[in-house]
Amino acid sequence: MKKGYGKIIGILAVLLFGTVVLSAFHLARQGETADRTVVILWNGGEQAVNLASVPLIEFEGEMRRKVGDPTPHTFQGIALPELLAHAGIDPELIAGVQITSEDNYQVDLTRDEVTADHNVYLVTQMDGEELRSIDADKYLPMIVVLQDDFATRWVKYTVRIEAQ
Amino acid sequence: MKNKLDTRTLVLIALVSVLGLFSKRLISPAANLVTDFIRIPGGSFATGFSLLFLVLGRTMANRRICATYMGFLQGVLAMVLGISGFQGMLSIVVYTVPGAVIDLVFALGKNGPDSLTCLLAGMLANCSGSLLTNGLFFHLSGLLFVLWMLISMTSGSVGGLFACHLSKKLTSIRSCQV
Repeated sequence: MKKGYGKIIGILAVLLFGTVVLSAFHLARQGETADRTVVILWNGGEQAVNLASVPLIEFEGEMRRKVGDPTPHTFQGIALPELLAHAGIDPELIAGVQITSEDNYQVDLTRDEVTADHNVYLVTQMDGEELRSIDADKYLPMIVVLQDDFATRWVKYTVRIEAQ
Repeated sequence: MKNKLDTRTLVLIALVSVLGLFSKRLISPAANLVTDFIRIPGGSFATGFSLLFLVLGRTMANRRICATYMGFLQGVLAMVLGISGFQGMLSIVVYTVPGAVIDLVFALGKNGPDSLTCLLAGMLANCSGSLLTNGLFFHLSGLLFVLWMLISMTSGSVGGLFACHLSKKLTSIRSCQV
C-alpha cells in the first residue's frame, strides 16, 4: 500500500461510518417524532426547511365555515413571512406564493395576503394536537389564512411552498 | 510555484469554473435522491462533487490563489445567470470561501498536491461552504446539523480524491502529447 493511503482510507471510513450511523439514527428518530419538513422553492432554487429548526409561536385564531358558528382554536406555528425570511426570501420581493399539499391541493396567496399582519401561518399543532399526514404516518403542517371569510383556503398536509 | 496568470491558466480557470458550476446542476437531481431519502436539505452533497473541479483546477494550474479566483468567478456567474437560487449577492461569498479554503489547504500542505492534500482540500472546502450556507440560510441545529456536515465532508473528500486522480490522468495525457 502506498504511503498516505492508510490515512485516506481511514478518513473516508470514519466519515462514511459516521454518515451511515447518523443517517440511520436520524431516520429512526424522524419515524418516532416528527417529519415537519416543507420544501420552499424560489427563483429556481429549493430548500427543505425542517420546522423543528424554526422558532414556533402559540396564537389564537378562528376557523370559519360556511355552515355553523366560528370555532376558536389555539395554534402553534410560524408566520409565513417569517418562514420565508428564515429561508432567505424577502416576502416583500415576491408576487405571491403557491401552497401545495400532500394530495396536490393547491392554493395561491398574494403578497399582500402573505405580508398582512396576523394572517397566514404555517402551523404544526392545533389545540395541542400535532398535525399529521393523510396516512397519519408522519407529521405535516397546515397553512391557515386567518383573515379569510371561510377556511376554504386553509391547506392541510402542506408539503411545498413556491414563492413566485 | 508560479504566481503569474498566463493565458493557459486563465483559460483553465474559466473552463474549470464553468464546469464546476454547471456540473452541480447536473449532479443535483441524483444527489437529491440521497438527501431526500435521508430527509436533509440537498446542496451540500452535490456541492462536494462540483468542488472537485476547483481542486482539479488548483492542482493543474498550481497557482497560489487560483481556487479563490475560480470560486469568485463561479459566484459571479451564478448570480449573473440567476442560478444562485435564494442566495442572491451572497452567492459570491458562498462560492468564494470554499475556493479560499482550498488555496489555504494547498498552501499548508507540505507534500504538494498529493491525494491526502486534495482529499483534505475538498473536505474542508465543502465543510466551510456548508457551514456558511447553514449560518446564512438553513439554520440547522443538533443531529441534523452534524449529519449535514458529515455528508458534506464525505462528498467533499470523495470529490477531492477524485480530482487528484483526474489531475494525474490529465497530466499524463498532456505529457504523452508533448
